Amino acid sequence: MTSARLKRLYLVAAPGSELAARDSATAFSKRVATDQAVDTQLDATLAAHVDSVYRYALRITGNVEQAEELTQETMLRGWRNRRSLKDPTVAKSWLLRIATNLWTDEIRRSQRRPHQLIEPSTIPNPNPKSTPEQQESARQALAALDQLPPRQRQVMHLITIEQLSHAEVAKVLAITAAAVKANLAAARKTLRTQLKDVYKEHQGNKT
Amino acid sequence: MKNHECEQLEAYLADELNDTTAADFLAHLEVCASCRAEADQQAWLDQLLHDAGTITTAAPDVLWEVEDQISHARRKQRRMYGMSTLLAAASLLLAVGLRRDPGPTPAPKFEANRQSPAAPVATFTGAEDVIVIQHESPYPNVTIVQVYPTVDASRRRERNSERILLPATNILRGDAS
Ligand SMILES: [Zn+2]
Repeated sequence: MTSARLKRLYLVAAPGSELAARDSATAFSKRVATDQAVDTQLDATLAAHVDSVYRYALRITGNVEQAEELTQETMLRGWRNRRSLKDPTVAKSWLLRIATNLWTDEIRRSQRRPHQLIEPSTIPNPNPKSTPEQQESARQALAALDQLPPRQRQVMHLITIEQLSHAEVAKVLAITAAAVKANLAAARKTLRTQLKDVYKEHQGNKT
Repeated sequence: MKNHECEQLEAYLADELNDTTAADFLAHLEVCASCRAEADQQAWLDQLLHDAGTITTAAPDVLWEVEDQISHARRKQRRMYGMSTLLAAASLLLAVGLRRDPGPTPAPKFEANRQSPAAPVATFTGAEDVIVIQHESPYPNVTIVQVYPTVDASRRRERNSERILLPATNILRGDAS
């Protein structure tokens, strides 16, 4: 072979492959994409929790880009270690534990402090079915959650949003049950205080 | 009115009281407006956070990237076991001869052929996505390509927004022999 210089890179999709489908379909809805993912590569048990992992990643990193990276790393590591997951019913907390460990390592490595401030973009699109008042309450509640100290924020998120049990949270964060309880109580108290006016408004609107 | 029973509020909210103590605290809630208000607010807040928090979902390409890497890892694994038949084609150089104008030809003629490509002598089809790298060819009527059985470059391709995606039957024409 002569000193062949790389000229052009073609990616050839086999007819009917996932790649071909991805490129040909213009209106490729998210759900379809995720369903395909479930069918094709990533074990369905793990893929089912990608949203939970992402939400958690977003809450602890406070940054969309980092959250996406952390989610990918978590799913990949989960996939690589999938044989060590004996009980599929604990897949969600198992993945969240991986995400926690990866993020802890990342913070240690980069010597960076966990984000205290959340980018405005991380506050999700409000539920279109809710009223503007409800949307505003939701926005304020999430903003208050994101202002909590990291540990309280993690505990509150895992229990309230991901509905993990106290024991599961203790495992995910590698802390004691007592620490979970203490952080949860502190987080709730702070949030109730901060959102007192929002709550009063909500009650006023109700009557 | 605050009393020692009010201190059980957080434990009650965390569902941590045993049956007897929980019953006691429920009785306390009946008479303590302050705890009742806090408990109501916490229930409202938990619901609000749960509803608002679960709206967020991962963008589809988050999983696509994972998919790509898993594909890559799987292929690497297969390669290690030497099981894949595509592997045989991996580092294969394909010299594709065209029926028209055999042998080296002057540049103008070749240009003309480019505008209306000649029929290939053979068609190479595969069941999997592949990456084809076209190499510089010393012969104007011969296309040299290298075939890799992977989709790993899709990210690069998407990022460079240089989307050259052609149906396999259109591009992979040639004969390995
Ligand atoms: Zn009380």
